Amino acid sequence: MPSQQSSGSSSAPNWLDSTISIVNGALGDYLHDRPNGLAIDMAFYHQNRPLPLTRASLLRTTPSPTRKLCILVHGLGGHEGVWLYDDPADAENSINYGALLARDLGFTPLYVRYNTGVAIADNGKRLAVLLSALLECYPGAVDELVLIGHSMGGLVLRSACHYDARHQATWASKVTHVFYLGTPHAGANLEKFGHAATHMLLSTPNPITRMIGNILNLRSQGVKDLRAGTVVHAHDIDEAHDDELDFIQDAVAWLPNARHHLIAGTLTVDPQHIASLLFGDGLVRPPSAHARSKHMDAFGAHDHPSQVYPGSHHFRLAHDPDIYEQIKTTCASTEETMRCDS
Amino acid sequence: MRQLTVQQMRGIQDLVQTAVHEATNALEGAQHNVARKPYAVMERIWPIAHTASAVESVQMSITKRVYHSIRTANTIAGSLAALALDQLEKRESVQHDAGQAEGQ
Repeated sequence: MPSQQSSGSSSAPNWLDSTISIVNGALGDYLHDRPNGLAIDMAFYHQNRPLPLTRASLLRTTPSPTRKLCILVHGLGGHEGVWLYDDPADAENSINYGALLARDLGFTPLYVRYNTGVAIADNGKRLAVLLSALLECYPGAVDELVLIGHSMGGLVLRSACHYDARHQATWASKVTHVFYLGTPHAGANLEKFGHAATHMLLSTPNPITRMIGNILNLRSQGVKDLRAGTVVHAHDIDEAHDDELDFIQDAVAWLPNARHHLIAGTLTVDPQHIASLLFGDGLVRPPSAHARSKHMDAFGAHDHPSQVYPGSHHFRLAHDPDIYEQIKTTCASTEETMRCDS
Repeated sequence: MRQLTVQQMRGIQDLVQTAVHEATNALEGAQHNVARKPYAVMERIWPIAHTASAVESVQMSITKRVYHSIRTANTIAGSLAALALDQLEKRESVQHDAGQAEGQ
């Protein structure tokens, strides 16, 4: 049986892990550069511990590895505990999308934990390397990769796909579906407000407001990247696109061989309610989660299936039974198609 | 239940020490800039300029000493915490070695 994570066990992330993850989200780039013992190294986590990428350790945690992998990437200041919710079939137990996909469709789930304060592009590069390393030591062949990213995790996935496709590594060609849950492809309003407030405080000729502005400006690069949904570094952009720097940084091409599913939530059951129109799921508005911007449209973002889940706030998107049903149906239909083709 | 590793405790010590140091510097700078303003005005009025300048230098010197003592206390506290963590690490290392010897 593929590995599962349950909140009921002592191995689930606790308040200490949550606090460290939040500190990483707020000051992660500082922790990484210092370097500080609180900085989280990107790794797959199993039972609240980093999983060494060796064949032996993978076999220990996944005694029956399947040919289909599901990679789950959390959002800002989070960890793999964000995916957990009460199992509708057994209230005593907690479950998550990965464990359910393992049970229902035979996927082997792997949960990434990383320092969310580091630039999204850096995390994307690290994830690309991590996935390459995984495929090298995975005990068995891999036919299919499904990627699920919550919030910033979706941007990290897009970045990883971009860097991997550029280096023509192997894992990107195996990706069939990428699910973006409340991912701010066109930027998050809270960070846009934070940026404007910092700029205003710093330009006010008063020592106190400047000091407050400087404190606000300490927020991590990962948080700052959420303003425009920046997924690549400016210096990684092809020279041909230098004149369109902002344009390219938040709108790299989508991985062509995969289906991209853009999922948004709203605060209220009525998506046309003023609160939902203004705040979306609380942190990300549906137009951003659906990559609706002229930059994104140039890369064909409007071709990707997009859904709104009314009443699902930002954090619920990572553990909503209705969203899991959609993920399951989509993955099952691919399986059916592959079976028919073969 | 998982506990903090010594490495993580060192991380917290470093983070707290840096935060106190940087906050002290920022507050000192802000206070200096705010306090400087009335003296700058008074120093332009010649009958009180000399006195204002003298009072300012006394106040600045006291303020500087207060902030300096906060930074010193922070450095001492940080060093003590680092020493305690060194001891803890040594003890853990000894226990680990003992455990390995028992295993063999």
